[in-house]
Amino acid sequence: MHKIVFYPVGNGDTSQIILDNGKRILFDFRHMSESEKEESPYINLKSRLKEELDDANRDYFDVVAFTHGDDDHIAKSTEFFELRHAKKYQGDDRIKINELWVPAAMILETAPTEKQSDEFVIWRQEARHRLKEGEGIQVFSKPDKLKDWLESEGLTVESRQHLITDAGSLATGFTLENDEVEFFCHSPFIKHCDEGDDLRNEAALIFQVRFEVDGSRTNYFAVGDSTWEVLDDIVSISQSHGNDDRLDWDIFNLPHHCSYKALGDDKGEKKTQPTEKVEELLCHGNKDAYEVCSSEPIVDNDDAYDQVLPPHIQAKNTYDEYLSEVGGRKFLVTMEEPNTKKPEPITFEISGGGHRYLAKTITGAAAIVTTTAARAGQPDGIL
Amino acid sequence: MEYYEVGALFADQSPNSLTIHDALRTISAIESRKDFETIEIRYHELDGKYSEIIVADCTNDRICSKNSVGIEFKERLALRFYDNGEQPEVRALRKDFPYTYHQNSVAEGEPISLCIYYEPWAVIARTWTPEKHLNIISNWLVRVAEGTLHSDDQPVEQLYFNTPYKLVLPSDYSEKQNDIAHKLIAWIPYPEEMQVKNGTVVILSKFIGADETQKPEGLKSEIVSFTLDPVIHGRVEPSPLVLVDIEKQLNSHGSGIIDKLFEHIVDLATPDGIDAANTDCHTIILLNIPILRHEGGEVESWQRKGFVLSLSLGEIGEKAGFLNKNGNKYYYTPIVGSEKPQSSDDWMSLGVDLIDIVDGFSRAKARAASGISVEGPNGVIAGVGALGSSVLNIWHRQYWGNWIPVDKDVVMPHNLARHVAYYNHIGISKALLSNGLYEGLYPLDIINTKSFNDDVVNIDNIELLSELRSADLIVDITTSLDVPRNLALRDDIKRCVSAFINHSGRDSIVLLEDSSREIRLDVLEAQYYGAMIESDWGNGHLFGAAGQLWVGAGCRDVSSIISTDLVQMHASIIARQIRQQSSTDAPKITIWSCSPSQNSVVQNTVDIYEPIYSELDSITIVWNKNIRDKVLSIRNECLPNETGGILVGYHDFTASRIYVVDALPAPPDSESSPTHFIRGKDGLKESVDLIKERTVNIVDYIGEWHSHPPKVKALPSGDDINLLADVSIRLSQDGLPGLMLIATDEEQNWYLGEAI
Repeated sequence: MHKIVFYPVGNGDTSQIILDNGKRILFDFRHMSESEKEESPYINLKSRLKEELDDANRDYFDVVAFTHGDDDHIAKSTEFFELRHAKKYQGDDRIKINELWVPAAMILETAPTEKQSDEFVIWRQEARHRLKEGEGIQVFSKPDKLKDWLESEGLTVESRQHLITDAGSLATGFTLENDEVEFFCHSPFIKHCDEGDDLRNEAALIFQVRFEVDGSRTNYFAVGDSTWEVLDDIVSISQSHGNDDRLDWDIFNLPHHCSYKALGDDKGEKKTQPTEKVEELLCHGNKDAYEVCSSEPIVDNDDAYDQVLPPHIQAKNTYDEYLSEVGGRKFLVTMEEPNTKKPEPITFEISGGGHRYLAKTITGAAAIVTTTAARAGQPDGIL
Repeated sequence: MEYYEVGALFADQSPNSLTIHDALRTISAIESRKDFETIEIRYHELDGKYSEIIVADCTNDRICSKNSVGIEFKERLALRFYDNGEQPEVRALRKDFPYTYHQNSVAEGEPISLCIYYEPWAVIARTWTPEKHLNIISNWLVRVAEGTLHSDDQPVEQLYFNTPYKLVLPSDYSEKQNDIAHKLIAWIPYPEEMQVKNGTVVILSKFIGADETQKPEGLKSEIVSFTLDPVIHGRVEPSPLVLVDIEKQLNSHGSGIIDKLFEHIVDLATPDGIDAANTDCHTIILLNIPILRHEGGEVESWQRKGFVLSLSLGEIGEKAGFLNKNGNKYYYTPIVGSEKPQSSDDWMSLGVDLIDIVDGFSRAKARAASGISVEGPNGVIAGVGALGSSVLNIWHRQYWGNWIPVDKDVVMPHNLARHVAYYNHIGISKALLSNGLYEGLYPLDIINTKSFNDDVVNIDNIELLSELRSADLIVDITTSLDVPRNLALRDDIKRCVSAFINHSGRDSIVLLEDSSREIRLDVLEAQYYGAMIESDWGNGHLFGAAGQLWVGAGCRDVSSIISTDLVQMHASIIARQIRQQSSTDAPKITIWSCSPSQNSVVQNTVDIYEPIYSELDSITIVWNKNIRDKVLSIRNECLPNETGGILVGYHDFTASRIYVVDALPAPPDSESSPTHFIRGKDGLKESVDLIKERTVNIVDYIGEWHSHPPKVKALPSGDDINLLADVSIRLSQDGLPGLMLIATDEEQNWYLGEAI
């Protein structure tokens, strides 16, 4: 059985695909220092992932994909992973990455100094190192600037072509036949990388991850941060290439922590009206589908409608509406499951019987004995 | 989505309309959960039976999106509660809810009923809470969707649910079912009114000769059996109402009955027709059903099911159109000019009642039920009194061994307190009764009808003698001291075991010879006494026996008081231990002591020593290596002086044997030098009294022993002869011979007073 796990990391992203054959593909990494406190609702990502790998007797991920270089997708990752380009990031039980997946922008991007996080720069160095070494990396899209950079390093596109995957094709390394999974790359596509200054979100990795087990197909639409413009393009391009089925989804990792900007320009009063193409994408959801929003809890009160930062309640209402229309099951928020006080990772299981959400069902005494008890003590004022 | 409607809507949909406590608790529990949502509340009343129903949607994330069973993420359920405290019911209201494993039987057109509890409601009810109820329902849906509610290692599902009607097949059914020389008849052993109170009506059956006339008590029915084509295991089918239902259900499992049934009727009717005299005759169709787990797989199990039609086979043929009644017979009538028979669909609507088919009790079943795989010996059991009849009753019900009972007594009224016997058995030979009880268990499996109303040691009974000689194991539970000693000396028989309980009924004892009979019952008996003197368990072991040692709570002592529960307890221990111990070769002495104060039974085993038989002219001294070692050890300790002491044991003049049970060391006031020994007397009386008390006077003083120093032969000196003469004179007052043992390292010689 394959698994998809979404970790409660607040308004950020971290998810993992664990294949039945043991391969592990991690998407983004957001460790929050605050999570190291016992009472924090956020998951202590470093220790959680370490624990999971220990249990699986591994010290590596087969793939770590950074959908883009924003801090909420890479936070503290350079403390956790072993990087090949510099000794100081090696040893000390650091977790190895067999193959790093990045959008081309992460190789190229030269953001203004104040926006450029230290960690992003480190990852750019790592990605460049791996590309130069010619192993342990897969770069998505091939803008001219990438070609220029390769040339500046004395390399040719041809010599690195096997490490580069264009939008509209499948990531290398996984096949339905061998792994029961394939990664169809929707984004980034050339148009965006060459357009302008702040390309990070637009150039983020977007995959339709397709599982096929015993003839039963389950599609997981994995979007990092994105905007309606990018999604519009993805829908149009997919349609024009006859790849409509690559828009299907049974599990949808909603873009950008439920930002209305992934639906349309106008947040709306109660709902955000999606663009025509985004609407089409939402209608590609299958019966029994789930939407997963990797974000803080979504509050439904008057103030929430005026909230500037995502998650946006108006966007949630829209997603709810379309989910119901396609006969989907639930809109899940990573920081709400099973409760907002101590959320747990949301885990889906993929098998020949389709997908299911392994919601926590242990209750009563069985649950009590797996947690520490509430504090007991003498009543105040007696002594 | 189309849903069934159950009962009527409450006009007021607030939870307060509910009056049944558990319904109220449940609706409150639903309110606090995310996975259940109340849709509406309803009630139902029929024939004074009132129930309230919560219609609720159950959503479940753990249901696989494309599960092959067809369970949906959201299922609408009717949670029904009865005001009489009956088990709450759960119905799936979706009209196309799939048939799955673990559903309850429901009438056609009713919503499916989930079978969520395996234990009886009376048990469940004690810990039932609405929250647990909802969890179990939710889990049932998940496990059904996963296919794990019925895992691969569980037996295949039955084709139909159980019905109140049980047809019990005779144990020789498999053997005779295809034998045309026999026919199966059925009867109801007790009036239906008597049985149905329990919800079960039992119909018994047996084979009689094909030409035999059915006895009047028999049901007017014809029983025909068919072996079906394999049925693929799957859902449990709802109870069929008419014949065509059964056919459709079997068809859906890849099998069928109608073709076989009709073919059978045609065969019966061709060419001489079927007798039509049998009006108002029922037909019981018995199906032998091979079940496959998967299509193309191996037959995994055989199930039997039957159904009853209230018509004779001829009438069924007539309803199917291919038989026509002419006079007193039904004849096969093909269409004129065609090989094809005439046909009619009238058979389809013939009413049917399902009946369960139950295998009769057989020896194989008995053995399997007890988890016994070995056949056990062909044996003789001597003594079927209270203890013996109870032991044998256990072995019969386990079908361990084939036993010939021997007992010279008859059942008397006082026996009923402890024997396996009933009032109507008073006066019957106990041995004969034992066989009768066996036949009551296995009426069709009688292989041994022999029993002997005799004393097992009666050598004049040639037939008994022959049975004893051929028995693999002779079990003595005669409670007499004579029988085991007698058996012990016979060389023409095989292994023997003797079992008895003590006078208080607290302890039971089993003496088992080794399989090659190197150590026999009489030797074991002597060593049992030796251990009784030495061991803690021996203290009080025979208390109150007052000279009567071998006790079986038998009939000889009418006044003996032993609670029958103790007899049954020891019978169980003895039955089990003899069964287990006799499978090994070694000899064994085992005592089970029941401590009433601690309510426990403790097992004590006794070390067994190789016997030494010292033959004198007229008598054999039976002692053992342990006594010899003890004597030599005491001698060595006292060297260079001589030493000695008294011997304890008993005489058996019938067997011409003296059994030496122990040799006691010299009392402290004894005198000794390298050339003489005078046994003292301090504490000796107390020692002997204790031995006598423990062994209820069986073991007593029998003579003296003393040692000779090295390089001196174990021959009697003048003093020794005088000593033996003195002992002999004193013992002769009881008519007993004097015994003397002279021991050196090299030799131990016995001298009998009379012989010198």
